[in-house]
Amino acid sequence: MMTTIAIPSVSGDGLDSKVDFQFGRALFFTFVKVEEGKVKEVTIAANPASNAMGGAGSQSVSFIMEHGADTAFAIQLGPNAATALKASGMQVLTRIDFSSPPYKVKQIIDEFIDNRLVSMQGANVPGHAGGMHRHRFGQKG
Amino acid sequence: MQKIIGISGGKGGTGKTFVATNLAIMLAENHRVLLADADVENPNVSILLNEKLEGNGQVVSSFIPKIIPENCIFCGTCANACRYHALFQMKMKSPVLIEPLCRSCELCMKVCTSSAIESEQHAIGEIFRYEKDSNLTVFVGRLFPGETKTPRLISKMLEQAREDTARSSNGYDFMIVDCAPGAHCDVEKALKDTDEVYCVTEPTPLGAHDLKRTLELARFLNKPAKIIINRADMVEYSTPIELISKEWGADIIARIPLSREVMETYARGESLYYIHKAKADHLDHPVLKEFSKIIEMMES
Repeated sequence: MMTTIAIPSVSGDGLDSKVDFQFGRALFFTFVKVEEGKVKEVTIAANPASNAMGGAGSQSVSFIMEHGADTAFAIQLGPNAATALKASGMQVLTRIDFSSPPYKVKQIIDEFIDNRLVSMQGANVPGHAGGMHRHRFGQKG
Repeated sequence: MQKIIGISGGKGGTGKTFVATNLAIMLAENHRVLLADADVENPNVSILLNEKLEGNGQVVSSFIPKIIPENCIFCGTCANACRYHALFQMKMKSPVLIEPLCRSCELCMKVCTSSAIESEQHAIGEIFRYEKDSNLTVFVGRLFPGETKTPRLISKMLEQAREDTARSSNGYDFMIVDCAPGAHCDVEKALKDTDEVYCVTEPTPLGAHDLKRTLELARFLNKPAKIIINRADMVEYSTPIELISKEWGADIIARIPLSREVMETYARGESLYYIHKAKADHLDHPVLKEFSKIIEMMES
């Protein structure tokens, strides 16, 4: 059974990219096709919503759906993205804890294959009302 | 109406509401005044006027689309048309509204060809109107916490205030608009229809910085601006403010001294003018004297 999981990323280095803490304004998405516990394909795309004035959450979800994602991974998820993801019916996953960041996409995929990721219940950060620019929260691009 | 004055200044806590309220009260001794509290996220004018805002507010709503799933043909036209990405549509499912993104433009309802979108009203806040003494009418906007449509509520409130001036048989001589801190779109909305902006600042680098942003906004809106320095003698920082005044062509029209009494009355939620007005020499009061100066200038 094939799954395509979309992982917000700070660069276009595929499995070697670091995971972006933000979802709606993630700089890139790394799409990983996984079948029977093995990585079959990796696609990378720059997120058109990364600098959006508003509606980035909604746009990003449309974007990853267009790229065939049926599962999404997020560390921080704003309310608009959460609403759109819920409407999409996609499975939304996250880690149990966030000790020792940053995380590489490869690490998240390994955890995904090992079933160590957990379901995300909804938004866990407030929105950027009015469409503010990206936050960095100490992570280096 | 002689003049509509916006009270801004950028920095929070410089004394905008203090100035707006006492100015309005003092003007109302001899003129018909309309005072509008356009800091709709935290309207404080009524506290200084000792008026409670409960129960008699008029609720303001704006359009949001109501999707009728039975009529929806999943064409996605509405979601594609929405410039704010407020409608999220999956294939073969009716669209889901992301309410905080909706700007009430109604375009989705207009482009839907299968009558699957109807108008629904989403309440964003309240407008209050009351009269204080014989010459002062007050309008207040108060946004419901968590709502995002601040400029819309300000617009509605000021629209009602203007209708009031058109309806009133005596008319108003002055309108004072108390703005929120900052130089954001809500302040822009509040200042849009004013004739002039009074920028209340404090003699500090923070005051100066935010003052410049307000002057920039006033210039962008093509409004003449003047400066009121509050707590003017608290530290020696007049030179930088005077330089800004010169650079921007904004006269300094008052220097209100630091006053323990002002702090105490303000902290008790009382208007300084109300406390002193019965006294014969109240206009000799160092703070009220500055207000008289402003009023003299406004009347001339």
